[in-house]
Amino acid sequence: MLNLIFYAFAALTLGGSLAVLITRNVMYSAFFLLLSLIGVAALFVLASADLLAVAQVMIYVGGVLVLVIFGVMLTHKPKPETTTGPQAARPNYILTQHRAWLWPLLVAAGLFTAFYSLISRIHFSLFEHRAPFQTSVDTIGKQLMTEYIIPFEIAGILLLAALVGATYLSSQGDRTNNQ
Amino acid sequence: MLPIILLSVFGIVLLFMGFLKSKVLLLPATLVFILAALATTFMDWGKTYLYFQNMLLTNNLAILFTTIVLLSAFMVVALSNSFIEDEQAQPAEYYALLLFSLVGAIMMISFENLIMLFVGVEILSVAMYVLAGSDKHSPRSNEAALKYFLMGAFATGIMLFGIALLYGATGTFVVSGIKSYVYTNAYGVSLLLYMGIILLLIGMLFKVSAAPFHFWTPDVYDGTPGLFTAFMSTVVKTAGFAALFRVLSVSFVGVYSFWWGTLAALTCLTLLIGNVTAVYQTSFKRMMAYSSISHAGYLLIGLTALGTQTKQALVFYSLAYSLATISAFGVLLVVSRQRQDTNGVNENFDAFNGLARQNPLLGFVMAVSMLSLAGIPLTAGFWGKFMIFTTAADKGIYWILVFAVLMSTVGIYYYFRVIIAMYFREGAAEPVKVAPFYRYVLIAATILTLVLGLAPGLLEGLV
Amino acid sequence: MILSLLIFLPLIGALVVALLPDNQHIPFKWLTLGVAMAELLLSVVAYTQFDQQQAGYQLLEQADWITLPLGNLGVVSIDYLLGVDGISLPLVVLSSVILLIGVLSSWTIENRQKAYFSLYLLLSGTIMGCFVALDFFLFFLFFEFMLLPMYFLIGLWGGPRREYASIKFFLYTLLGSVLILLVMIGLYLSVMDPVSTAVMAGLATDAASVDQDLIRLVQAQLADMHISSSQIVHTFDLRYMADGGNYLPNAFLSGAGETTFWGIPARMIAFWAVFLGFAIKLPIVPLHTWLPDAHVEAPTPVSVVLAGVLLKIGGYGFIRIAWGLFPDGGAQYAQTLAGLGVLSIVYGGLNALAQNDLKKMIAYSSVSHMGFVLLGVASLTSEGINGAIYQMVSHGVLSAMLFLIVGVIYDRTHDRRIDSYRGLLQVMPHYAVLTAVAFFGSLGLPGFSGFVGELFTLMGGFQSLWLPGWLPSVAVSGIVLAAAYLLWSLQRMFFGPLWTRDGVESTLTDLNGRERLMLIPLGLLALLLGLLPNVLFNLSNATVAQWLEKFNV
Repeated sequence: MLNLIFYAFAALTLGGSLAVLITRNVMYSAFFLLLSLIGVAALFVLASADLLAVAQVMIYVGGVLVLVIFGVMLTHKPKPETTTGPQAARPNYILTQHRAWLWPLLVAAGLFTAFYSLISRIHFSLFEHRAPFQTSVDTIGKQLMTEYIIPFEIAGILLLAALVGATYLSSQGDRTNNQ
Repeated sequence: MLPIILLSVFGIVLLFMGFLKSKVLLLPATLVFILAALATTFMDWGKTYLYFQNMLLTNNLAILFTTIVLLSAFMVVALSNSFIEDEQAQPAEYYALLLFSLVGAIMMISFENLIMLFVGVEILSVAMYVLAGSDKHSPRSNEAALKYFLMGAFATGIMLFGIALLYGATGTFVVSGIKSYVYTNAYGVSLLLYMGIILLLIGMLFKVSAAPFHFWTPDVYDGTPGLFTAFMSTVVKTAGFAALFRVLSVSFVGVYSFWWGTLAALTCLTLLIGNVTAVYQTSFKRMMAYSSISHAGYLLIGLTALGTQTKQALVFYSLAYSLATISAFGVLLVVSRQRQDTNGVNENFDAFNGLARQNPLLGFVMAVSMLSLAGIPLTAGFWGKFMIFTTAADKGIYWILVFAVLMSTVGIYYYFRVIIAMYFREGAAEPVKVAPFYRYVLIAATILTLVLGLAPGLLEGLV
Repeated sequence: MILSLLIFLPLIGALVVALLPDNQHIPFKWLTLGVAMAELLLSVVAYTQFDQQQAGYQLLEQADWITLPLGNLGVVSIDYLLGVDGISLPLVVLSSVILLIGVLSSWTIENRQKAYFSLYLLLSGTIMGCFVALDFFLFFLFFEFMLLPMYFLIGLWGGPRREYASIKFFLYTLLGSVLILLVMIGLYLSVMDPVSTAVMAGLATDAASVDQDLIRLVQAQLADMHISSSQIVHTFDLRYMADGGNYLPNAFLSGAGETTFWGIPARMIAFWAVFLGFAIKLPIVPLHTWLPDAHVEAPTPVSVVLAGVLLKIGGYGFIRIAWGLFPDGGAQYAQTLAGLGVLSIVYGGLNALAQNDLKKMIAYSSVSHMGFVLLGVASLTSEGINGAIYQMVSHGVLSAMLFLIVGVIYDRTHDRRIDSYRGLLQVMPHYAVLTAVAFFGSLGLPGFSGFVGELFTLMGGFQSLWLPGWLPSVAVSGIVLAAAYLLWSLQRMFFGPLWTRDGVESTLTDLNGRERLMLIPLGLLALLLGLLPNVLFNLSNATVAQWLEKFNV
């Protein structure tokens, strides 16, 4: 039964990712990405990583993906009728397809072989003695507030730097001239 | 670990100072802040401390690397007086980001827990992404920021994956914990560890722009405003090598035979690409980008030939390299700003034509820094190379030594192109003006380079 | 003290000139001339203080300079160690003479005098340093730092292709010096300082109490590996490096030659690396191509110093370092090395024959004449080595004279082509006489110094146990070639009816006082050395005899 659920969600994840690659409409791609991310979240649940699953849903599905969809919807413009000529010459055109299939394929195949052989040859210690399910939220929360308090706090500096940077880059450069 | 806290607070203070109408106070305030951080760094001198539940470890080596980083930052900030004149610039944000990035750099230097390494790399990188794009009206700057961001995010991802695998293999993030894992399982190390080492190395080599992960460097260095390029090529590189050294010399020294061959091959590739491509550049800034790749190669020799004197060689080399690079960029900033052509600032070699006659001081500063980068005796750069080469000789890796020596001869060619332009070519007649404080910083860097060249024993016994 | 003065007087002079304001009224040239004369005086004093009967280093000066701990490699201790012996003293005296002549020849430099004379003094100081330094590292620093002033002197005051010529000069020589640097690091790791090691190992209480017997004891203990690696003090001291007993038994460059690369002992590779480093400087075919370019573009005084002194550092390096530290290499490859020397002699001579540019011809004749130095050194005989030293001094004097002669005609007409002139004897009789002196001296006419140098190196070649007889026989053709190109040029330029290509006969005036002041002493010196060769041989003989003991296997 558990196996069946696992394979179902794994299929959902993989199918979603594949569909992201294959569909040519950006909007559909974004929705397929949603499927894929939800599948990953479910796989996390099956692996007893409840906090990760929640985080996955909240951050990626709830946050990042919504942003992506908004981004796509807001920047999506109908094709201007007047423009002719090669696609790449048009303004705001992003090259999503590339003719060079060989190298990406080789790299992907190489990575796949490497990781597959790695996983198949590794001895996972938790594999033998399965622990009964218990929520990890408590432990992680305590750890974050005790042992890992410094990285947790310092991440605030990281976010602040990112925030300052984002406001700076998106602000109108000639602020002083407007005053 | 006061400097990390201090610099974080100072960064926020600077942001508030940005509300003031006058921008005059910002520069001196930043300099004072950096000096304060530098002073507090030395409070731990001579001792080894673990901070915050094994998160950070300070020892003399970390303090020396921190000093180099803070010194570089101090000089870069001191050379930033043009912001005050520039109407468009928002110095408060720049300085705050610089201070934040220093927090990241110090964390990269003194991490004991790989999580701290990751957060440090992220802070440093995020600040640099923004500073790379700080010239918002220049398409090249935008391109640099975007490229740096995409590549950098990719590299951090790989690094994070590596850290996760290392955790999977050893069950710990602590550097010394990984070391004891490696020693207790000397004959049956998990494959995950090897994969983790490779991925972590790839991520870090990306940051220090070693080949074949260097391809972002020329465009990013070229597009970034000169001042921040100087910061990028000194602070990021020093911190990156300090981090590499710590992780390699503590955690992975037990599996030296696994990684040294790969690293040696990458070292040679880095030296080859950096030096040979630099020869073909017409832009000084691009040449400096490739030269920074080649210097990453020299520093990698020290890591490949990891031994007892590697740390001393790395410290000395980083210091010599930082001093020379910052003074070179300092001169470039003045010259390119005053030699503008229709395409904006002129950062090509020909901008330096006749500089030695118009401003002998700038010519001399530039000449010394080029000689130091090229490794000519009686400059600090020579001793840096000498020490690095000695580590390789001690380890018996002679072929890498021969190769590096040949490559350093190639280096002479492109560094001397600047000297040729300054001394042998005729240029525009109008004199190049330099602000007094700016001049003092350049003179100080030059004198330090020469003093270290005459008496390299000054750093004796510090490491 | 006197050797330090020889180095630091010009260096301080350079600093003074550099710090003085750039003012037309300041007589930079007189200042430089004063320094150069003081240098000559100092070298003569050094010559008189030198005991010619004694073989070892004399006038020693020693001080600690750089101490740099390098972890388990011990301590890099670089000493400020100076001294001269019969090999270096002739070259020191030669340098001071040539550098003085060079100042006189620089009298016509008008452009940027301050920078010029400052660089010139810097060059003088580093050249002197090269010849008197006995610490390998100190030698290397001077050797490499010498390139910078030379680079700027060619690049700033040179001819139209000066950028190309100066960077070519720099890169070639630098490539040589990095090879030397590599070997230097290897040697450093392989050699101990017996005196300090004795103190470290507790065999002596302080350095002063260490005598020869104790040194032998330390060396014996080292060979038996009774001294632990932490007690071994490494050194750059050339005196210790030259003594096979000081090599660590298992070291990279130790005498046993256990370390091999592709079947070749590391010591042999090191020998070839050092040889190449100095062969570029000498220069030896096929590494000579920088020389004609540099000479053609360099201003006359720089050419004089380059040919008169700088090339000699290559020969000095052969004797002191390449052969001095690796006698086994010199012995094993004697034939190949002598062959290279002969190749230089013949190839340089043939090239000189083909030149139309007078300066280029002399540059190639330098290549040819320096080939004799290599032949002499490679012969490993007393005649050969003494002859090589003699040839270096003689060539220093004569090539300086030759380049001055080119400078004289170039100053007047800005044309150096041999076929642009005919019948110069009629308008410039004194010039013609001095040119004839220099040419005859160079082609080895008995009575002039060139004859003695070439004769002795060839004698060495014929007597050598290491060389087949045909090699020096081929080298004899170099003398014939020299006679051919020099006499042919003399005949074309000076005899016959007066004619110039551009019709500039009116500008051809005979030598002025300054030019005579430069050329006549050099001519007399060449004559003196040719008539009284013992002046020089007495100086070098004892040292060379001791030096050759290494090869008595």
